[in-house]
Amino acid sequence: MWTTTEANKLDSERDQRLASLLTAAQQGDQVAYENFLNETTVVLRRFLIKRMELDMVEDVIQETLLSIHRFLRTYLPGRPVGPWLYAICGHRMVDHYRQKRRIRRVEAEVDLDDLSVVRIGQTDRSLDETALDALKKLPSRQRRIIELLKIQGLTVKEVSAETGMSESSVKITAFRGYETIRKLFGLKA
Amino acid sequence: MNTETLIHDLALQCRPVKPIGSPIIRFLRWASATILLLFVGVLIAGPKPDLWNAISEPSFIFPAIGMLCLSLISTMSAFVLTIPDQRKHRFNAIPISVVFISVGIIASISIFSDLQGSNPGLICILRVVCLSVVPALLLFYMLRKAAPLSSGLVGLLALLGTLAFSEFALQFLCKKQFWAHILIWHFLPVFALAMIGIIVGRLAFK
Repeated sequence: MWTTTEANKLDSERDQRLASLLTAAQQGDQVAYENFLNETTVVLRRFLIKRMELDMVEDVIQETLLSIHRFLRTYLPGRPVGPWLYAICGHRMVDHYRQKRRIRRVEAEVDLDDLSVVRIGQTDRSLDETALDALKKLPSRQRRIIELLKIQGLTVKEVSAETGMSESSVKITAFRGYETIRKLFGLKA
Repeated sequence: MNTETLIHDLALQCRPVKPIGSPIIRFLRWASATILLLFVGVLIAGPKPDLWNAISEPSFIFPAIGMLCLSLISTMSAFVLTIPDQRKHRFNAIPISVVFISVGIIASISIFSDLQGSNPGLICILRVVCLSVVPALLLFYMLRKAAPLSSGLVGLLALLGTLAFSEFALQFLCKKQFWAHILIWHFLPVFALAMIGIIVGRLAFK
Protein backbone atom coordinates (compact mmCIF):
# COMPACT_ATOMS: atom_id res chain seq x y z
CA MET A 1 0.00 0.00 0.00
CA TRP A 2 1.16 3.51 -0.68
CA THR A 3 2.32 5.64 2.19
CA THR A 4 2.39 9.30 3.08
CA THR A 5 6.01 9.50 2.04
CA GLU A 6 5.05 8.73 -1.55
CA ALA A 7 4.09 12.38 -1.88
CA ASN A 8 7.78 13.23 -1.69
CA LYS A 9 8.60 10.99 -4.60
CA LEU A 10 7.57 13.72 -6.99
CA ASP A 11 10.51 16.06 -6.82
CA SER A 12 9.54 19.67 -6.38
CA GLU A 13 10.56 20.66 -9.89
CA ARG A 14 8.40 17.98 -11.46
CA ASP A 15 5.56 18.74 -9.06
CA GLN A 16 5.64 22.41 -10.01
CA ARG A 17 5.72 21.58 -13.70
CA LEU A 18 2.77 19.21 -13.32
CA ALA A 19 0.93 21.79 -11.21
CA SER A 20 1.28 24.46 -13.87
CA LEU A 21 0.19 22.03 -16.61
CA LEU A 22 -2.80 20.94 -14.52
CA THR A 23 -3.81 24.52 -13.78
CA ALA A 24 -3.63 25.29 -17.50
CA ALA A 25 -5.70 22.16 -18.19
CA GLN A 26 -8.37 23.42 -15.79
CA GLN A 27 -8.56 26.51 -18.00
CA GLY A 28 -9.21 24.32 -21.03
CA ASP A 29 -5.69 24.11 -22.52
CA GLN A 30 -5.76 20.79 -24.39
CA VAL A 31 -2.04 20.73 -25.17
CA ALA A 32 -1.11 21.31 -21.53
CA TYR A 33 -3.58 18.62 -20.52
CA GLU A 34 -2.12 16.09 -22.95
CA ASN A 35 1.38 16.89 -21.69
CA PHE A 36 0.19 16.55 -18.12
CA LEU A 37 -1.40 13.16 -18.80
CA ASN A 38 1.69 11.92 -20.65
CA GLU A 39 4.03 12.91 -17.85
CA THR A 40 1.61 11.57 -15.25
CA THR A 41 1.57 8.23 -17.04
CA VAL A 42 5.32 7.97 -16.66
CA VAL A 43 5.07 8.79 -12.95
CA LEU A 44 2.22 6.35 -12.39
CA ARG A 45 3.91 3.54 -14.30
CA ARG A 46 6.99 3.86 -12.12
CA PHE A 47 4.81 3.94 -9.01
CA LEU A 48 2.68 0.95 -9.96
CA ILE A 49 5.35 -1.36 -11.35
CA LYS A 50 6.78 -1.69 -7.85
CA ARG A 51 3.42 -2.57 -6.37
CA MET A 52 1.44 -4.65 -8.83
CA GLU A 53 1.66 -7.51 -11.25
CA LEU A 54 2.82 -6.16 -14.58
CA ASP A 55 -0.32 -7.19 -16.48
CA MET A 56 -2.44 -5.02 -14.21
CA VAL A 57 -0.35 -1.87 -14.46
CA GLU A 58 -1.76 -0.51 -17.75
CA ASP A 59 -5.34 -1.14 -16.60
CA VAL A 60 -4.78 0.83 -13.39
CA ILE A 61 -3.00 3.62 -15.26
CA GLN A 62 -5.96 3.96 -17.61
CA GLU A 63 -8.47 3.87 -14.77
CA THR A 64 -6.44 6.52 -12.96
CA LEU A 65 -6.32 8.72 -16.05
CA LEU A 66 -10.09 8.44 -16.41
CA SER A 67 -10.50 9.39 -12.74
CA ILE A 68 -8.14 12.33 -13.16
CA HIS A 69 -10.31 13.50 -16.05
CA ARG A 70 -13.47 13.08 -13.98
CA PHE A 71 -12.05 14.78 -10.90
CA LEU A 72 -10.10 17.52 -12.70
CA ARG A 73 -11.95 20.27 -10.84
CA THR A 74 -10.96 18.84 -7.45
CA TYR A 75 -7.32 19.84 -7.85
CA LEU A 76 -6.90 23.04 -5.87
CA PRO A 77 -4.43 25.34 -7.68
CA GLY A 78 -1.35 26.09 -5.65
CA ARG A 79 -1.40 22.75 -3.84
CA PRO A 80 1.17 20.03 -4.63
CA VAL A 81 0.08 17.60 -7.34
CA GLY A 82 1.78 14.52 -5.86
CA PRO A 83 -0.60 13.80 -2.96
CA TRP A 84 -3.62 14.45 -5.21
CA LEU A 85 -2.30 12.14 -7.91
CA TYR A 86 -1.21 9.33 -5.61
CA ALA A 87 -4.48 9.46 -3.68
CA ILE A 88 -6.46 8.90 -6.89
CA CYS A 89 -4.05 6.24 -8.11
CA GLY A 90 -4.03 4.46 -4.74
CA HIS A 91 -7.81 4.20 -4.71
CA ARG A 92 -7.92 2.95 -8.27
CA MET A 93 -5.28 0.36 -7.37
CA VAL A 94 -7.33 -0.89 -4.44
CA ASP A 95 -10.50 -0.92 -6.56
CA HIS A 96 -8.69 -2.90 -9.21
CA TYR A 97 -7.56 -5.52 -6.69
CA ARG A 98 -11.10 -5.79 -5.32
CA GLN A 99 -12.49 -6.20 -8.81
CA LYS A 100 -9.91 -8.86 -9.65
CA ARG A 101 -10.74 -10.75 -6.49
CA ARG A 102 -14.44 -10.61 -7.36
CA ILE A 103 -13.80 -11.82 -10.88
CA ARG A 104 -11.67 -14.71 -9.64
CA ARG A 105 -14.54 -15.73 -7.35
CA VAL A 106 -17.00 -15.43 -10.22
CA GLU A 107 -14.81 -17.46 -12.53
CA ALA A 108 -14.44 -20.13 -9.90
CA GLU A 109 -18.21 -20.40 -9.63
CA VAL A 110 -19.14 -20.14 -13.26
CA ASP A 111 -17.38 -21.48 -16.30
CA LEU A 112 -17.84 -18.64 -18.74
CA ASP A 113 -17.52 -20.95 -21.74
CA ASP A 114 -20.30 -23.21 -20.61
CA LEU A 115 -23.91 -22.43 -19.89
CA SER A 116 -24.31 -25.81 -18.24
CA VAL A 117 -25.22 -23.99 -15.03
CA VAL A 118 -28.72 -23.69 -16.41
CA ARG A 119 -28.96 -27.17 -17.85
CA ILE A 120 -29.55 -29.08 -14.67
CA GLY A 121 -32.88 -30.87 -14.90
CA GLN A 122 -33.60 -29.76 -18.46
CA THR A 123 -33.87 -31.87 -21.56
CA ASP A 124 -31.78 -30.67 -24.51
CA ARG A 125 -34.86 -30.00 -26.64
CA SER A 126 -36.64 -27.80 -24.14
CA LEU A 127 -33.41 -26.16 -23.09
CA ASP A 128 -33.08 -23.81 -26.04
CA GLU A 129 -36.62 -22.47 -25.75
CA THR A 130 -36.46 -22.18 -21.98
CA ALA A 131 -33.05 -20.55 -22.06
CA LEU A 132 -34.17 -18.08 -24.71
CA ASP A 133 -37.28 -17.25 -22.68
CA ALA A 134 -35.12 -16.68 -19.65
CA LEU A 135 -32.76 -14.55 -21.72
CA LYS A 136 -35.64 -12.28 -22.76
CA LYS A 137 -36.41 -11.56 -19.12
CA LEU A 138 -32.92 -10.22 -18.42
CA PRO A 139 -32.09 -6.50 -18.28
CA SER A 140 -31.02 -5.30 -21.72
CA ARG A 141 -27.32 -4.95 -20.86
CA GLN A 142 -27.02 -8.47 -19.39
CA ARG A 143 -29.04 -9.90 -22.28
CA ARG A 144 -26.82 -8.27 -24.87
CA ILE A 145 -23.62 -9.50 -23.22
CA ILE A 146 -24.89 -13.08 -22.93
CA GLU A 147 -26.18 -13.02 -26.51
CA LEU A 148 -22.80 -11.88 -27.76
CA LEU A 149 -20.99 -14.48 -25.67
CA LYS A 150 -23.30 -17.46 -26.10
CA ILE A 151 -25.25 -16.96 -29.31
CA GLN A 152 -22.73 -15.12 -31.45
CA GLY A 153 -19.87 -16.99 -29.78
CA LEU A 154 -17.61 -13.99 -29.26
CA THR A 155 -14.83 -14.11 -26.71
CA VAL A 156 -14.83 -11.84 -23.66
CA LYS A 157 -12.17 -9.71 -25.33
CA GLU A 158 -14.25 -9.34 -28.49
CA VAL A 159 -17.37 -8.47 -26.49
CA SER A 160 -15.33 -5.90 -24.63
CA ALA A 161 -14.24 -4.31 -27.91
CA GLU A 162 -17.78 -4.50 -29.32
CA THR A 163 -19.49 -2.89 -26.33
CA GLY A 164 -16.74 -0.58 -25.15
CA MET A 165 -16.92 -2.15 -21.69
CA SER A 166 -13.83 -3.43 -19.92
CA GLU A 167 -13.25 -7.19 -19.92
CA SER A 168 -13.86 -7.24 -16.19
CA SER A 169 -17.22 -5.51 -16.60
CA VAL A 170 -18.20 -7.97 -19.33
CA LYS A 171 -17.45 -10.90 -17.02
CA ILE A 172 -19.30 -9.35 -14.10
CA THR A 173 -22.34 -8.46 -16.24
CA ALA A 174 -22.39 -11.99 -17.69
CA PHE A 175 -22.14 -13.46 -14.21
CA ARG A 176 -25.07 -11.37 -13.01
CA GLY A 177 -27.04 -12.50 -16.03
CA TYR A 178 -26.24 -16.15 -15.25
CA GLU A 179 -27.33 -15.61 -11.66
CA THR A 180 -30.65 -14.18 -12.81
CA ILE A 181 -31.12 -17.13 -15.19
CA ARG A 182 -30.35 -19.53 -12.38
CA LYS A 183 -33.04 -17.89 -10.26
CA LEU A 184 -35.50 -18.06 -13.14
CA PHE A 185 -34.77 -21.79 -13.38
CA GLY A 186 -35.36 -22.12 -9.67
CA LEU A 187 -31.74 -22.98 -8.97
CA LYS A 188 -29.71 -21.74 -6.08
CA ALA A 189 -27.76 -18.62 -7.07
CA MET B 1 -7.69 0.97 -26.19
CA ASN B 2 -4.06 1.76 -25.50
CA THR B 3 -2.96 4.43 -23.07
CA GLU B 4 -1.66 6.85 -25.73
CA THR B 5 -5.01 6.82 -27.54
CA LEU B 6 -6.83 7.30 -24.26
CA ILE B 7 -4.67 10.30 -23.37
CA HIS B 8 -5.29 11.83 -26.78
CA ASP B 9 -9.05 11.28 -26.47
CA LEU B 10 -9.14 12.75 -22.97
CA ALA B 11 -7.12 15.76 -24.07
CA LEU B 12 -9.62 16.42 -26.87
CA GLN B 13 -12.41 16.41 -24.29
CA CYS B 14 -10.62 18.98 -22.11
CA ARG B 15 -12.88 21.94 -21.32
CA PRO B 16 -12.39 24.78 -18.83
CA VAL B 17 -13.47 23.77 -15.34
CA LYS B 18 -13.84 25.89 -12.25
CA PRO B 19 -11.75 24.40 -9.44
CA ILE B 20 -13.92 23.28 -6.60
CA GLY B 21 -13.88 25.53 -3.54
CA SER B 22 -11.91 24.73 -0.41
CA PRO B 23 -13.52 22.12 1.87
CA ILE B 24 -13.90 24.69 4.64
CA ILE B 25 -15.84 27.12 2.45
CA ARG B 26 -18.10 24.32 1.17
CA PHE B 27 -18.59 23.05 4.71
CA LEU B 28 -19.55 26.54 5.93
CA ARG B 29 -22.06 26.88 3.10
CA TRP B 30 -23.65 23.56 4.03
CA ALA B 31 -23.63 24.37 7.74
CA SER B 32 -25.30 27.78 7.17
CA ALA B 33 -28.01 26.24 5.02
CA THR B 34 -28.54 23.44 7.55
CA ILE B 35 -28.81 25.81 10.51
CA LEU B 36 -31.45 27.73 8.61
CA LEU B 37 -33.32 24.55 7.63
CA LEU B 38 -33.23 23.17 11.16
CA PHE B 39 -34.31 26.49 12.62
CA VAL B 40 -37.34 26.44 10.33
CA GLY B 41 -37.91 22.75 11.19
CA VAL B 42 -37.87 23.50 14.93
CA LEU B 43 -40.25 26.44 14.47
CA ILE B 44 -42.66 24.31 12.45
CA ALA B 45 -42.58 21.44 14.95
CA GLY B 46 -42.82 23.84 17.88
CA PRO B 47 -40.04 24.17 20.47
CA LYS B 48 -40.65 22.69 23.90
CA PRO B 49 -42.54 25.00 26.25
CA ASP B 50 -39.90 25.19 29.00
CA LEU B 51 -37.03 25.81 26.56
CA TRP B 52 -35.52 28.79 28.38
CA ASN B 53 -35.29 26.87 31.65
CA ALA B 54 -34.17 23.66 29.96
CA ILE B 55 -31.17 25.10 28.12
CA SER B 56 -29.36 25.79 31.37
CA GLU B 57 -29.63 22.13 32.47
CA PRO B 58 -26.59 19.83 32.08
CA SER B 59 -28.86 17.22 30.47
CA PHE B 60 -29.46 19.74 27.69
CA ILE B 61 -26.07 21.37 27.39
CA PHE B 62 -23.82 18.28 27.28
CA PRO B 63 -25.77 16.21 24.74
CA ALA B 64 -26.34 19.30 22.59
CA ILE B 65 -22.69 20.32 22.57
CA GLY B 66 -21.57 16.71 22.08
CA MET B 67 -23.81 16.16 19.09
CA LEU B 68 -23.02 19.54 17.58
CA CYS B 69 -19.28 18.84 17.81
CA LEU B 70 -19.72 15.35 16.38
CA SER B 71 -21.76 16.75 13.53
CA LEU B 72 -19.26 19.46 12.67
CA ILE B 73 -16.28 17.10 12.84
CA SER B 74 -17.98 14.40 10.77
CA THR B 75 -19.24 16.74 8.09
CA MET B 76 -15.95 18.59 7.86
CA SER B 77 -14.15 15.24 7.52
CA ALA B 78 -16.52 14.25 4.73
CA PHE B 79 -15.77 17.46 2.85
CA VAL B 80 -12.02 17.09 3.36
CA LEU B 81 -12.12 13.49 2.16
CA THR B 82 -13.69 14.49 -1.13
CA ILE B 83 -10.51 16.31 -2.12
CA PRO B 84 -8.02 13.60 -3.11
CA ASP B 85 -5.01 13.98 -0.89
CA GLN B 86 -3.28 11.00 0.60
CA ARG B 87 -1.98 13.00 3.56
CA LYS B 88 -5.36 13.22 5.27
CA HIS B 89 -5.72 9.69 6.57
CA ARG B 90 -5.47 10.66 10.22
CA PHE B 91 -8.38 13.02 9.85
CA ASN B 92 -10.71 10.06 9.16
CA ALA B 93 -10.05 8.53 12.53
CA ILE B 94 -11.59 11.36 14.58
CA PRO B 95 -15.33 10.85 13.96
CA ILE B 96 -14.99 7.08 13.87
CA SER B 97 -13.32 7.21 17.28
CA VAL B 98 -16.09 9.47 18.55
CA VAL B 99 -18.68 6.92 17.43
CA PHE B 100 -16.91 4.04 19.12
CA ILE B 101 -16.41 6.01 22.32
CA SER B 102 -20.04 7.11 22.34
CA VAL B 103 -21.30 3.57 21.75
CA GLY B 104 -18.99 2.42 24.54
CA ILE B 105 -20.44 5.02 26.91
CA ILE B 106 -23.99 4.04 26.00
CA ALA B 107 -23.21 0.35 26.43
CA SER B 108 -21.57 0.87 29.83
CA ILE B 109 -24.39 3.10 31.04
CA SER B 110 -26.88 0.49 29.84
CA ILE B 111 -25.08 -2.19 31.83
CA PHE B 112 -24.59 -0.25 35.05
CA SER B 113 -27.70 1.95 35.13
CA ASP B 114 -31.39 1.38 35.29
CA LEU B 115 -32.69 2.48 31.95
CA GLN B 116 -36.24 1.30 32.59
CA GLY B 117 -37.38 4.87 32.84
CA SER B 118 -36.07 5.88 29.43
CA ASN B 119 -39.65 6.35 28.12
CA PRO B 120 -40.31 5.19 24.59
CA GLY B 121 -39.42 7.85 22.10
CA LEU B 122 -40.22 6.61 18.61
CA ILE B 123 -41.41 10.09 17.77
CA CYS B 124 -37.87 11.35 18.51
CA ILE B 125 -36.40 8.95 15.94
CA LEU B 126 -39.00 10.04 13.42
CA ARG B 127 -38.24 13.70 14.08
CA VAL B 128 -34.48 13.19 13.66
CA VAL B 129 -35.08 11.43 10.35
CA CYS B 130 -37.47 14.12 9.10
CA LEU B 131 -35.16 16.95 10.12
CA SER B 132 -32.23 15.20 8.40
CA VAL B 133 -33.76 14.60 4.98
CA VAL B 134 -33.16 17.95 3.29
CA PRO B 135 -29.72 18.66 4.87
CA ALA B 136 -28.61 15.13 3.95
CA LEU B 137 -29.75 15.50 0.34
CA LEU B 138 -27.95 18.83 0.13
CA LEU B 139 -24.80 17.38 1.66
CA PHE B 140 -24.71 14.34 -0.61
CA TYR B 141 -25.26 16.60 -3.62
CA MET B 142 -22.37 18.84 -2.59
CA LEU B 143 -20.05 15.90 -1.87
CA ARG B 144 -20.92 14.21 -5.14
CA LYS B 145 -19.67 17.26 -7.04
CA ALA B 146 -16.17 16.65 -5.64
CA ALA B 147 -14.28 13.34 -5.58
CA PRO B 148 -15.61 11.02 -2.87
CA LEU B 149 -13.12 8.22 -3.55
CA SER B 150 -13.78 6.42 -0.25
CA SER B 151 -17.48 6.34 -0.99
CA GLY B 152 -18.59 4.23 1.99
CA LEU B 153 -16.64 6.25 4.54
CA VAL B 154 -17.73 9.59 3.10
CA GLY B 155 -21.34 8.37 3.10
CA LEU B 156 -21.06 7.28 6.72
CA LEU B 157 -19.53 10.57 7.84
CA ALA B 158 -22.04 12.61 5.87
CA LEU B 159 -25.06 10.83 7.30
CA LEU B 160 -23.61 10.81 10.80
CA GLY B 161 -22.96 14.55 10.56
CA THR B 162 -26.46 15.28 9.33
CA LEU B 163 -28.19 13.04 11.87
CA ALA B 164 -26.11 14.46 14.71
CA PHE B 165 -26.99 18.00 13.64
CA SER B 166 -30.67 17.04 13.59
CA GLU B 167 -30.33 15.48 17.02
CA PHE B 168 -28.93 18.79 18.22
CA ALA B 169 -32.08 20.45 16.86
CA LEU B 170 -34.21 17.75 18.47
CA GLN B 171 -32.96 18.88 21.88
CA PHE B 172 -35.04 22.00 21.36
CA LEU B 173 -38.16 19.96 20.67
CA CYS B 174 -38.08 16.94 22.96
CA LYS B 175 -39.78 17.38 26.32
CA LYS B 176 -38.19 14.26 27.82
CA GLN B 177 -34.95 15.80 28.97
CA PHE B 178 -33.30 13.07 30.99
CA TRP B 179 -30.19 11.03 30.36
CA ALA B 180 -31.67 7.59 29.83
CA HIS B 181 -34.10 8.86 27.21
CA ILE B 182 -31.48 10.93 25.41
CA LEU B 183 -29.02 8.04 25.31
CA ILE B 184 -31.44 5.36 24.18
CA TRP B 185 -33.82 7.31 21.94
CA HIS B 186 -31.59 10.08 20.60
CA PHE B 187 -27.96 8.97 20.50
CA LEU B 188 -28.34 5.30 19.71
CA PRO B 189 -30.67 5.79 16.71
CA VAL B 190 -28.32 8.44 15.32
CA PHE B 191 -25.39 6.01 15.38
CA ALA B 192 -27.45 3.11 14.09
CA LEU B 193 -28.99 5.11 11.24
CA ALA B 194 -25.61 6.58 10.33
CA MET B 195 -24.46 3.08 9.33
CA ILE B 196 -26.91 3.23 6.42
CA GLY B 197 -24.65 5.98 5.12
CA ILE B 198 -22.09 3.37 4.07
CA ILE B 199 -24.55 1.85 1.62
CA VAL B 200 -26.00 5.18 0.55
CA GLY B 201 -22.48 6.50 -0.02
CA ARG B 202 -21.51 3.53 -2.15
CA LEU B 203 -24.61 4.01 -4.29
CA ALA B 204 -24.55 7.80 -4.44
CA PHE B 205 -20.83 8.18 -5.12
CA LYS B 206 -20.41 5.35 -7.61
